[in-house]
Amino acid sequence: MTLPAWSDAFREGRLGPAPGLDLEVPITAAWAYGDGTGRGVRVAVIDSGVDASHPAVRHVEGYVAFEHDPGADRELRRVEGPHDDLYGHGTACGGIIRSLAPEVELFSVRVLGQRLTGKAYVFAAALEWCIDNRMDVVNLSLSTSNEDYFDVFHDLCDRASFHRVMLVSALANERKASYPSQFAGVFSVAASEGADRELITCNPTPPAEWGAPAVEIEVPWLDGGSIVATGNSFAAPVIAGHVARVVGAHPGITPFQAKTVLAALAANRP
Amino acid sequence: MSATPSPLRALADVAADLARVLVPDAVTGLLQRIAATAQVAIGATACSVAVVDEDTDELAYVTATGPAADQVVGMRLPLGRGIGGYVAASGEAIAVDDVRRDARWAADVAERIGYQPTSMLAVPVARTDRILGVLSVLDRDGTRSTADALDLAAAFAGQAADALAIGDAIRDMGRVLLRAAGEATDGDLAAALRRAAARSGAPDAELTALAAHLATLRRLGAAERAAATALLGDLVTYAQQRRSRR
Repeated sequence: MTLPAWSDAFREGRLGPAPGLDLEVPITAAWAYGDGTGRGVRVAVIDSGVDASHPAVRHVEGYVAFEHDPGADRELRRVEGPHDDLYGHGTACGGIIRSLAPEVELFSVRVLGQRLTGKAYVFAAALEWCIDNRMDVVNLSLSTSNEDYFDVFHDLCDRASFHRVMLVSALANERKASYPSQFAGVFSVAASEGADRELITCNPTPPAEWGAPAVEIEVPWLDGGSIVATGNSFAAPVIAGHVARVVGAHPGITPFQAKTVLAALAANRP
Repeated sequence: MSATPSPLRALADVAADLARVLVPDAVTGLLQRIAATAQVAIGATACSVAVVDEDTDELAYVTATGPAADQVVGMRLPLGRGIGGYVAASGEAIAVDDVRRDARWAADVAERIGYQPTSMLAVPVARTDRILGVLSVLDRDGTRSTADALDLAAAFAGQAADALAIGDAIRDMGRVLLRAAGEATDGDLAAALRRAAARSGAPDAELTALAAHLATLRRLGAAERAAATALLGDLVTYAQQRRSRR
C-alpha cells in the first residue's frame, strides 16, 4: 500500500524511540487514562458534520455550522442547531473518537460542504469558536495550504495552547505545507499501519509527531454504514480519543503536559 | 505600442496553448493498459483513471474499461463530488461495499453512464506534492480481500502517476519550445528560450534556461564547448559525491 505522505516516519524499522524522561516512577496507562471514558470532556470535530444517529456515534451534544455567505457580515454565517453530515468524513472522525473515549461530549462543528471543500476563513472562524466555547479537545482532520492564513492559524494555535485547548491535526495526505497541521503547538498526526487503536506512536523527529492506525481500516460513514479507508484524516481522531481520556482523568492538564503523558504511553517508548 | 506578432509566432503561441495535443498517444495507451491490467489483477468488472483539471476544479475521466467504458471516458465531474471526487479532494483511498446505499454518491452519474455499480474502490493517483487524479475499480468479484485490492490499486495508481508525469513533461517541454520557436522568427533562439523559460514555472524554467545556455555555447565555437563540457562534467561529479555523503 502506498502510505499517505508523512506516514513513512512510522514504518517499522524507521521509527526511533519516543522522547523519554527516565522517571523514577513511570507513567502508567491506568494513571494517565483514569477510567478511560473521557467523561465530561468537550471534544469538537471540525469537519463535514457528525451523524448522531450512527451507531458508532450514538449522540452529539452540540452543533454549529459555519458557512460562506456573501450577504452576511464578514461573509460568514453561523447556524446553530442539529445538522447532517454532508459527506461521511465527520461521522468517521466522531465515531473513532467515541470508540476510544465513549463518554466524551461531542460537538459537531461543520465547515465542509457537499464537495468536501471549504474556505480557510470559515475554518479559522470555526476554530476560534471552539477556543471561545471552551472545547477541551478539537479534532482537525482538515488543514489549509493557503499561505495567507499562516499567521491567522498560528495565532489561533497559540491562543488554544494558552487556554489549554488540545488541537489534534491531521497532516495533509500529500507532502505539502498545510496549516495548522505542521505547527509545533498542535498534535500533528499521520497514519501508521496496524489495526489496534491502543497502539499509538510518537516520532522523535517531527513534524509528523504522532502516528495512529489509519491504513486500510474500517471507519463509520453515512447512513449507519462503514467504508474501508486510508488517510491521515482517520489517524487524528485516534490521537484525539487518547488525548480526551487523558484530559478526562486530569482536568486542566496543559497541551505540553498531555504530550509528555502520551509519549510515555507510546508503543515506541524507550 | 507593441508590434503585431508575425503569423508564425501567433501560430506557435496558439499551438503552445494547445500543447496537450503534443502528448503522444502512447501515454493514453499506457493508461489504458494500466486500467485493463488493474481490472484483471484485482478481479473487477471495470476500472477507470481520471485526472484533476486544476483550471476547472473538475475530475476528467481519460480512460476506462468495463461495461460503460465509452460513456465514462470524457466524463467530467466537479472535484469533491462522488467517490472519485472525494478521493481527489482528500487524497485518501477508500473502498465502499455498497455505493447504492447513499444517493449522494453520484447516483446521477450511474444513471448517465447506464451502469450502477455495487462496490467501488478508489485510490489517489499522486506525486509526493500533489494529487494528479484517481484510479477507480468497480464491482470486485471477491477473489481478493479489500486490503489486497487496495494495495494492488495503489500500485497501479503509482504507474498511472508516472504515465501522467511523462505526458505532462512532454506537453510542458513542447509548449516552451513552440513559444521559443515562434519568438525566434523575430530574433535570436537563445534569447527566445530564455524568455519562454522566464514565463514557465519551476523546474521547467531551470531546464529551459540550461537549454538556452547550451544553444549559446553551440554558436560560440569548439574551444568554448570543450571548456563548458569539462566544467559541467566536474560539477556533476562534485554534486553526485556531495549528495551521496548526505
